[in-house]
Amino acid sequence: MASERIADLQLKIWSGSLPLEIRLAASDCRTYEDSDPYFVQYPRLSYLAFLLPRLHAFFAPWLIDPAVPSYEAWLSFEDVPLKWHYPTGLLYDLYSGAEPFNLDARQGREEVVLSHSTGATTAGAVPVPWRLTLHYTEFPSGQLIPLDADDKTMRDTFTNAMKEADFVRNGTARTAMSLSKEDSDKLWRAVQSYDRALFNEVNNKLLHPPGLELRHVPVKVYLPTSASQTTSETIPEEGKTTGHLRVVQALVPLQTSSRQPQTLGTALNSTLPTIFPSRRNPLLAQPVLHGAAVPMTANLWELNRAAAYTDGFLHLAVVMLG
Amino acid sequence: EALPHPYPNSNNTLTITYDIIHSPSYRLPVLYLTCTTTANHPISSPETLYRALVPPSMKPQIQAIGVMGAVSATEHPITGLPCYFVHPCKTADAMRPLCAGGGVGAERYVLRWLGLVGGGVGLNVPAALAVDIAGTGEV
Repeated sequence: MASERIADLQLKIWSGSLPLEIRLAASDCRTYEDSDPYFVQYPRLSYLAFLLPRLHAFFAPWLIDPAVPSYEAWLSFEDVPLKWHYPTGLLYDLYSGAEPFNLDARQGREEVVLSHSTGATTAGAVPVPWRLTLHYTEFPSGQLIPLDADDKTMRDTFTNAMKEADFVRNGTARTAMSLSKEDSDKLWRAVQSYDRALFNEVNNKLLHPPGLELRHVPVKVYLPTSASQTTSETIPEEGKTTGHLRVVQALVPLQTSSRQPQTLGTALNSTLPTIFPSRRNPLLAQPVLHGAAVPMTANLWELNRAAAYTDGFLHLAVVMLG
Repeated sequence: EALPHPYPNSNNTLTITYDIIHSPSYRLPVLYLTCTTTANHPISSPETLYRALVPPSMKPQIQAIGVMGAVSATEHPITGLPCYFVHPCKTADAMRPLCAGGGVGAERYVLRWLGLVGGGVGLNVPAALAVDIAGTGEV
């Protein structure tokens, strides 16, 4: 696919957003359940932590203890604490229960997939807002990474993911690690302020390192625990693990062993053969990205270039069928 | 292995569970540290972790080693719960001279890796264990 088409798709992905309806937890609200809800159209590729200062300002009149700093707050969906280091779109694909946008597998072209997925959340359909609860007490420190006043933890976890993606792509993270301070600050600023042009300025350097060959495609697959029980491996249940997932990562080369371009289907079939027994058809489960069930025939590297999250990874949610 | 580390000046105990997990991305062992404490002071940052693990007198030496890279917050690859890990970026380069000449099996690799990476975060291999493994060949 031409670079122009990929850039066009990337623009569409970056325009994808989700309607959020955030309410203050009754136990943190002076008027119990009477606070106004906060509505926002939030980008799928952004992180919820960046919303906290705005939420704090909005809910200040209702807070039982307004002195609690904004970074000690946390968000939940149906009692599941939402992880800060997962992008909003991934959290939605994993937990919201929304039906993935299904595409005719015979169309099988990335551009059709992606323009449909953003269409569902921007112009066309009117989706139901995702209702979240904001808390200021009882921070679940056993389940969530604590934040800080300057987004240092957010930056650190993002940077580690970005370096890991770089290592996966090239077999070395030296490109990511040798970014100038200026570039590294620019990249983080672009993520915080959701600035696609600024992001691409630095990200393009990461994607085109001189003298290095692309080897593997950065992909992470998220399985609901019930899916992992179809394999022979056992997952230790750690106490209360509502919304527990299994994160699968394997090194996926650019080409298959028979020198064919790697597709989403060939990658999933080789990484998780019991869940994806067919390379072309989703028989037991579907891979979901940005709210759409992606055709198995999609070229994996092109999919990554158009639709990766800001850390460079394709974060795929697996939704079991039937 | 869980090693209890007492907090200085306190009756509370910090328990650190060390896990060595192979990273599919880096194709290296990575050291994870999961912290639980009986006190109401959870470990909320790498700095707090360092303060609990590394006596102030040793800090300059630990930092001078440099080879292990930073300790960062992350989620445990198996439990999915918050923990810390020692960044593997520089490990491969540091391990290369220690494995020169070939013939380094898995056990000996991990033992050398532990010496390199573990020391700075309070994980020291008991001498008896090292001697035991050494008895099976060159360590």
